[in-house]
Amino acid sequence: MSGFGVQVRDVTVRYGSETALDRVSLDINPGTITGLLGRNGSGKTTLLSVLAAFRRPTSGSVLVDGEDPWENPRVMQGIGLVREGGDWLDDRISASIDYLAGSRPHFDRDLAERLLDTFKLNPRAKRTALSRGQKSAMSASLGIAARTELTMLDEVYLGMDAPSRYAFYDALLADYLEHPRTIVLSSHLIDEIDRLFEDVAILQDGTVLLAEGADELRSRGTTVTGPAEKAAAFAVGRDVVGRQELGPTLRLTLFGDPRPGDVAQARELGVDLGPVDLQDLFVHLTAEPTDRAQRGTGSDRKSEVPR
Amino acid sequence: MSAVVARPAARPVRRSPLARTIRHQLAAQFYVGAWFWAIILAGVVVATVIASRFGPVEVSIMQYARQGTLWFPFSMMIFIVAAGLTPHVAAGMTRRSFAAAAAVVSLIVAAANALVLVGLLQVERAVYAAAGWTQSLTDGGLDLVSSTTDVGPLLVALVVTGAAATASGLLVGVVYYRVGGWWGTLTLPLTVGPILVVGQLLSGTIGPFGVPVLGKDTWAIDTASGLALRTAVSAALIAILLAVFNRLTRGAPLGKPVV
Repeated sequence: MSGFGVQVRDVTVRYGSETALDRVSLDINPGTITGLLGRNGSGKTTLLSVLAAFRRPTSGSVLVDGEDPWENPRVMQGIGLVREGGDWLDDRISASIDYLAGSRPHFDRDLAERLLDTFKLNPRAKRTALSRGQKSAMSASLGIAARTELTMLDEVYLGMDAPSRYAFYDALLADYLEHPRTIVLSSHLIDEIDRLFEDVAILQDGTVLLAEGADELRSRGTTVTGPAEKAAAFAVGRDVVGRQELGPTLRLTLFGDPRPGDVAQARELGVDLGPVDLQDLFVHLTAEPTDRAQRGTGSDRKSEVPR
Repeated sequence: MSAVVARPAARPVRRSPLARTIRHQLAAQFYVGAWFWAIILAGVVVATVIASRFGPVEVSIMQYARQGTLWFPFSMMIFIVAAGLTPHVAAGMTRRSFAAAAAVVSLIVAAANALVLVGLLQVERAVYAAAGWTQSLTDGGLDLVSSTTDVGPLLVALVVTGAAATASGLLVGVVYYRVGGWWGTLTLPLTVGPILVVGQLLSGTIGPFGVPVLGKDTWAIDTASGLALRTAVSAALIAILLAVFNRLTRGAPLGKPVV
């Protein structure tokens, strides 16, 4: 099984007078895990809904595996969008398993039952009787077990407790490695899942802010850790997007391409350089100017003397 | 030396999405339908026993199930759309297969209910005859026939009016699904009205189609040609309902999931 690729071109979606997506163009590479990031209301769910043929765009074109997914039996069969709460039957969990086993060609019933067991869910339980976290766990289990060529999980892990979320990440990664496919994860819990991302797309106000490889994005920033004064000295004239203090130690997240003399300067100052945190970059990139002013970081305030 | 020929492992039969959906929807409808008829039957038996305490029973009690066979399936068809469309598409199947399956199921449910009702009316007639009672029909919707022995016309009328109710239920369901409560309610005269029209067309003496102006010979319900004409007009109305349902369903964006 290989994954479906996605090409989105100039897609606009309007709900009445509100524009949810504004001329969005984006490619999702087949066989990768892509993180779709964005603040609340940025258009993530709308974009995923268009890709899954849940709704039609107002204008623009979407190709999934080279074809328009709308009412396309072959393509729709291979697209799975799992939304928070899930779009399952209001019946026992086992009824949804039977339903998916009939409609999804690669559905793995054993895997679904193992995952339900991991999350301590009884297949005979009625969906309506589940807590929010249990519904999320059910959705995550069935979403992974469906093994659709394009698997999209939209904030599906909201409501799950931390051990369940980590069990979900591990299960997703293990199954992805065994059965490579295209996976899109939409989340704002970036710290927890950024290790999974191969590509990242960030939406803001219905437009694509950036779409590139996760490593490429990480390389656009650096963390510097060391004695507060030394770290601050290193950051002078740079764009500071994150700041953490632990006693006398300061850790700063810097945005911008590395400079040729960075390593030597760090050695000279006695500070450590490290990879950047995607979460910090995301917060920086999607922050409104007022947010940046309140945090005292960002491109409109080059750090001269970090606090 | 004998060669052992490995037999290919049995593969599960994969039905088409349409066949799967018909099967799934029918299973649910037959399940609730069985409960519906069990309750009706229990109610009719109890009512008959009570009525017999006061002397010979002179009217069919089972005939009053007719309204139930219209409005219960009507509500179940609303449920099919409300609860079924989103999981269907989310499971990777098209709206087209959902709409086609729901239309087929609506016709099967209407036919099945009509058959059960006609069958139970026959049983009731036999029971009445054994008890020396009279099975008269007083429901205006059954004016088409003078007795439950007219099985053919009775079955036609019940199947067609039942199909109008189920088709209307699908249409009401998808209109509410797409445009919500306000517009769904405001358009009820258009979406439910055809049930009343078909009911009038297939009743003998009540309603506008029984008055002399419209009751010309070609429309006379007690003639084969009149009944055929009314049935054809009713079938055309049902076809229109299902066509509109199909069109609205195929363009429906999915609603938000219930968390």
